[in-house]
Parts: sequence; structure tokens; C-alpha cells
Amino acid sequence: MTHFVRRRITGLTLVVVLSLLLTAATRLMEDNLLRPRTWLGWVLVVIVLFLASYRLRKQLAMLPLGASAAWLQCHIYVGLLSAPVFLLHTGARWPGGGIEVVTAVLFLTVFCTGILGLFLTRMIPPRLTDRGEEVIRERIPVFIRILREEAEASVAGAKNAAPSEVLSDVYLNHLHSFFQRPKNFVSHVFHSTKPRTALLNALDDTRRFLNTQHEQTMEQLAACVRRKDDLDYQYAMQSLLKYWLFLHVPLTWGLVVFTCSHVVTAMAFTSR
Amino acid sequence: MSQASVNQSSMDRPRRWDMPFSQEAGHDSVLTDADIDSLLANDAFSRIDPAGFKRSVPLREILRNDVRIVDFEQGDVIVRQGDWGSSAFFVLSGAVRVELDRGDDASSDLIQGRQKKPRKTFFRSLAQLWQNNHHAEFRNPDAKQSVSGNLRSVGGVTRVYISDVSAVIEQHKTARMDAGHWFGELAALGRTPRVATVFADETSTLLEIRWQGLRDILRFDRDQGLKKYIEDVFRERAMASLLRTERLFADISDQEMADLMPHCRLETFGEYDTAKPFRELSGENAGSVKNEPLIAEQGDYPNAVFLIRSGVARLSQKHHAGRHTVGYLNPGRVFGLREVLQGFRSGRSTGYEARLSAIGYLNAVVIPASIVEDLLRSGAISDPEDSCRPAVHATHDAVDENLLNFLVDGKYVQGTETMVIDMDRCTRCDDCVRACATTHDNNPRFIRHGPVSVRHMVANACMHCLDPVCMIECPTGAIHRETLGGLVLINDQTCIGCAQCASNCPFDAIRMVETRNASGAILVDSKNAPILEATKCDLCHDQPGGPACQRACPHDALERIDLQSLSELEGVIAR
Repeated sequence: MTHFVRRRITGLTLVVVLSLLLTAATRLMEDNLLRPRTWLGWVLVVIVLFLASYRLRKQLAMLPLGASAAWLQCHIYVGLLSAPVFLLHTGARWPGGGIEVVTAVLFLTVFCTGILGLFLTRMIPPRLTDRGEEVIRERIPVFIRILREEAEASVAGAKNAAPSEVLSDVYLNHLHSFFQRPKNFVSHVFHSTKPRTALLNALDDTRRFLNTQHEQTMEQLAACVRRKDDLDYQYAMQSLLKYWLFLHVPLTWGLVVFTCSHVVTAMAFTSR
Repeated sequence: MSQASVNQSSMDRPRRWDMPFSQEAGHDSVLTDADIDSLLANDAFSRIDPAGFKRSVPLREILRNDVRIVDFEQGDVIVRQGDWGSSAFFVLSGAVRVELDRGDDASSDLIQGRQKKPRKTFFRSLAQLWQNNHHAEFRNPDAKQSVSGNLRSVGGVTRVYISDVSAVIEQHKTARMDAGHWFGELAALGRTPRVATVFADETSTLLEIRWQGLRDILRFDRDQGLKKYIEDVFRERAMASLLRTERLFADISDQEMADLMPHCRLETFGEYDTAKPFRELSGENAGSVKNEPLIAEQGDYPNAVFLIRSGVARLSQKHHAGRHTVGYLNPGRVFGLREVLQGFRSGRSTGYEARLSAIGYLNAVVIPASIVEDLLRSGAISDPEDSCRPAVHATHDAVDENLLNFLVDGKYVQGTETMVIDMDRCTRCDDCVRACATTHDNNPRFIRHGPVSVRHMVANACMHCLDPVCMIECPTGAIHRETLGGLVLINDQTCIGCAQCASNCPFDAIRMVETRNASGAILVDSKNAPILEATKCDLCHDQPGGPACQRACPHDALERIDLQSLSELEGVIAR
């Protein structure tokens, strides 16, 4: 068993055991006519603040605050534990008040985006490694421009050879927009190769109208299409790895604000 | 450059002595026949028999092309402790002083004009959040100018000098070396760091010879006078401690060690030509086991044990028409001992189980097998089963042959802090790059990019090599090791932006940057040329928590690994 598998099993076991202990403690307190929900609410506040503090840890990279990887592991398993705590706190019922509803919606959204992020960060990297050259996302537009120039130079033909009208038409009708910017984001997210196949087929269909020299140009264009498609794939997948955080992080800060409001109102009503 | 010369399809084949040493790296002098005659009349060379030299490598040509005569003013620093040496010196006239306060970094730094960066406190680290400069590569011109006071340019060569020699002699333990002495030869031949700082005690003239020339003289000199001198010096200063690093010889008595040492030879295998950038050569030879200098052949009678002093060697085994790379050996590792011990136990000789070849360059102590057997027979050394560590790494499960080839062919096995990124775990979040920038005044010191083998990337970050070729030829010693065997660092204040280190680094880990002032304007000299400076990873040596990149990786993808043995890498892969 590898270290990571052992770590995963330990983490999940801890989450399950703690959830069961919290459930038992809640039952016990209810049986003794105590108010476990207030207590669970405070546990949830601590959990939310701890989960939000991971962002702070990332900002303070220069300080010896422990490895970010260790923080992320805590973030993941404490995040998972927050779901049963939330259910115990709300009694598995939808809250009534306005602030409570917004807080609950924010909590669930942050939780779901967290799970989505966990899924994406585990699934996408091996796929990125498997397909295309390793590229830095911010440099992809530069590589696309280079490919576009290469493709256009192929279509324009060599110095002493006339360009093929057939290939020029195909380029203008099918490839011009393809080489302008990253394309087919959704198809790549769902691992569809339909757009790539369609473009390669469009190119291949021209073969019967081409002489040997232009056939070579067509092959060069096809190679450019494949490379551009790989770049698009890298762009789509790397974007996905970045974009989910644009949901998760702002919503987390929203959750912190509404959690504080919820605490204030709850305390105010409790004191009455 | 004319159009014709750009388009020409043939040229003279580059040769070893196209660029004489006397015209390299800013030097611009030519050794005349009279100079060479004068050298040959000197005691150091007069006993060398020119008849022993090959016709293609005559002694006169070695002196003409591999030697330069350098004049030093009083106080000029000739070599610095910790610098990597590729040449040796002979005092022709005048005198030099060797600093003997070895290991005392404070005194060395004082003499060499280096300043140690203190480790930041917790609050000073935190202050980087708001104190970091908004402009890239900000440098304080005043700080640079203050150190430049200890630099002087002589004939286009920049030198560090000691302004008050008498004070240094008073405050530090030094020894004077008069005309007729060699120094720096062990570091040059072994490509090891200089162990002491040497500076001119008075106006002196020194002969500097590059290691290739020195090696050829040692090889072809029938008199063997110089070779004997160097081997004696090595035996006197370093061999015993090197032999004792091998467990088999660790506990033998001083007398037995004294008996053993005369039989041991110091040998150099392979070469690199300093006349062309190291990276070019690295590219030519990358992955070609066939081109690597052979040290011991698989299956041959094991007549010697090799104790590696510097450089890296490849272990390979024959496989059909080609060769498997089955491992590599770094300094301190031994080859051939296993076979010698097996032969001693069984009474039957077994051949070397793998071929040993030098990856570029190797310096090793060769111990004849018969001597090891004599010591075993006499009981001076015992034969514990575990003393014969397997030389071959082939049994490693985690590091497959593909990865091993990638590491050895690319020479990444030189790295002591190699940045290896597991691309199956890396989410390309660039937290590592951001953390690096935060800890370096908003300037990232590496690029998350580099060659990939299946799923492991070796990023373009300084690996703090065991044999840092980047340090060769640095004119001011700005790029240096923090301490012996430590980190390779660049002193901002003494870097003159010559780019020698960046062009020597085979891993693209050093970048030349245009420096800026506080208002963001690029710093320029009197001719309006930008002031460049070499920058690279310093492993966050002044930060309280160690390398920020590794600590910032949320997914356990980025690791700094010492590749001197595969165990650390195996541990990372097998997670």
C-alpha cells in the first residue's frame, strides 16, 4: 500500500469515526435535554474559519507555517467532516430565516465546488500529461500564433510553387477561425474529439483534388491542426483547473461573512 | 558578417587549440617562442622529456596553447576557497600567500569580498508582503558600487583584490609560497572545489595551465616528476581521508594506511573542452553510452577497485546489440569491490558485472585488486557480507529504466537539490512560482518548465550540482558555494553580468536579467548598455522555512531531491 493510499484511508476513517462520535454526542445531549445545535454551530464556525484560513496560508508562503500539502489534506478532510456537522446542526432540515437560507446555500455551494475541485485536481493532471506537449497556459496564445503563421505559410505555398486553391478554400472556410484562438472548450472538457476529426476529415477530403506537392502541404496542415488541437486541450483543461477556484474562493468569503451574520443574529435571539 | 560567410556550407573542423588559453576569457596575450624557451628552461619543465609526447600533442604546443602567464598585483586574489577550479598555477616570480583558516567562513568571506546573507527572522519574512519591490529585478546601485571598490580590471580581466594585505596577514593564519611552487593542481585535476584562498603577497608572475594541458604532461612525461609531485601532494593531503570514507578501509591502522597509499593511483578519465561552452558538449554526448570514456569493461577480470573522487560514472550492461543503463556512481561510491570480494571468497575470479564509463569526466583513486586481497589475507581488513554494496541499481522497482536513462543521459544525477515535479499530481497552479517570487523580492527564480520523462519533469531550477560547471570561469567568484559541499549561490554585489555561468550551465537554470532602479528604470552603464546580472534559485537559504516552492506545493507534486543516490527519488515515486 502506498503512502498516499494509506493517507487517504486514514483521513476517510477519521472523518467517518468523528462523524459517528458527533452524531452519538448529539443524541446524548438531546436525550439529556441539552442544546447540541448551538454547540454544533460553534464547531461549524471553527471549521469554516479553519477552511478559509488555507487561503491565508497560501498568501504567507514565506513563513514557516508548515507545508501547503499538509494544509490541503487537513482542508479536504475537515471540509468533508463539515457536511455531517452541518446536517447535525440544521437537523437535516432546510432553514427558515433569510440569512440562514443564504448561509446554507453558500455552505452547500462551497462544499460542492470543493468536491468538484478535488475531483478535477485528481483527474485532470494525468490527462494533461498524456496528451500534447507540456505548456504553460499563459504562453498558449503565443504558440497558437506561431502555429497559425506556420499553417498560413504552408497554404501560401513555397517560394517557387503556386498555392493550391483547394487548400486555400479549406483554410478560409474551416481553419482560419480555428487558428485564431483557443477553441472547442466544451468538447475538450468532455473529451470529445469530434471537432478535431471533422477538421481532419475536411482536409482529407481535399486529397483527391491535390497533386503530390499539395498533398504534402495538406499533411503539414493536418499536423498543425493536431498540434493546435492538443494546445486547445491543454488550454481547456488548465483553464478548468483554474476557473473552479473562481467559484470556490469568492463563495468561501461570502460564506464567512454570512456565517458571522448568522452567529450575530443567533446570539442576539438566544440572549432574548 | 558577409552574406557569403553566412551561406558557406563548409568550414575548418574546430580543433582543440583553436583558442589558446592565453586568449580566453578576456585575456589577450600570446606566448612567443622566447616565452616558451624561457619556460622550458625553468626547473619545473626542464626535466620533462619532450620525446615522450605524441606528435599531435607536443610539449611546446601544450605550453603555447594550454598555458598563460599572468601578472598579479599585491593583494590580487588568485583563487578563492570554495570556487571550482579548472586550472593550476606555478609561481614563476614573486610570492603568494595561502589562507590557512580553512573552514572559517567568516575570515574567508572577509578576504574574498563575499557577504553572508543572514537568515530572515519570522517578522522580517512577513514584512516581505509589503516591502517587496513593485518593479522586477530591483537593485540598489549604491550597494553594488560599494563592493566594486574591491574589484579591479587588469587587461580586460576583472579581479577581486584585498586592499590591506598586511592587516589580513596579521589577522589570519597564512603561509607564504615563493617562486617554484605549484598550487591548485588537485582541484584542477579532480574538478573539486579550491580548499584555500590564495592571493598575491607581492607583485608576482604566475603560470596558469588549464587542466587538459596538465593532464597531458602527466600522461606523456617519461620522467614522471610532475606526476610524482602531484601524487605525493595528494597522498599527503587527501588520499587517506578519501580512502577512509569507504567502510572497508575506515578502521585500518595508520601504518596499514601508509602501506596502502603508495599502491593507489589517482586517475582522470574523460574530458571536456573548456574552449567551448559546456552545454554544447553536454548536448553532443547526451544519451550516447558509446561515446563515454570506458573505465572498466563488463566481464573483464576485476584487477582494480575504483573509488570515485569527483564526477559521475554510468553503469551499463550489455543487452543484445546495445546497453542497458543500470545505475550511476557519484563521488564517494566504489566500483569493483563487490567482484574482488566475491573472487576472494570463492577463489575464482568473476568479471566486472557492469561496464563503468565516465559521464563527461571522472576522477578516481584506483586501488589494485591484489592489494585489497593482500589486506584481506593479512586480516588488516575484514570481509563483512554487507561491505560489498551492490554497484548496480537494476533491482529498483520504483525507478524504471526509462527514468534512469533520462536522469543519467540528461546529467540530472549531478543534482543535489533537483526540482522534480510529478506531472500526474501537478495542477499547474503555479503556487510554487508565486511562492518563489514572494521570497525573492517579487522575482521568480525558476521556470515551471523543463524536460519531461513520462510523468516526471525536471524543472529549469538550479539543481545545486555536485560538480557545478557554472562556477568555472566566473571572473569575480560571484557564483560560489556557500560552504564546501553546500548551496551554489550568486553574490549580487560582485556579479558583473558576464554571463559565463549562464552559458556554462547545461540545464538553463541561470538567467541573465536586466536590473532596475527603484523607479523601475533599467540600470545602464556609461555606454547605455543595460547592467545585467545572473539570477537563479538559491534554495531560499535566507528564509526561515527552507525552499518556498516545495512548501507551497499543495499536491505533493514538487520535490527537491538529492539524486546522489536513487533512494530519495524512489521514496518520492513509491508514495
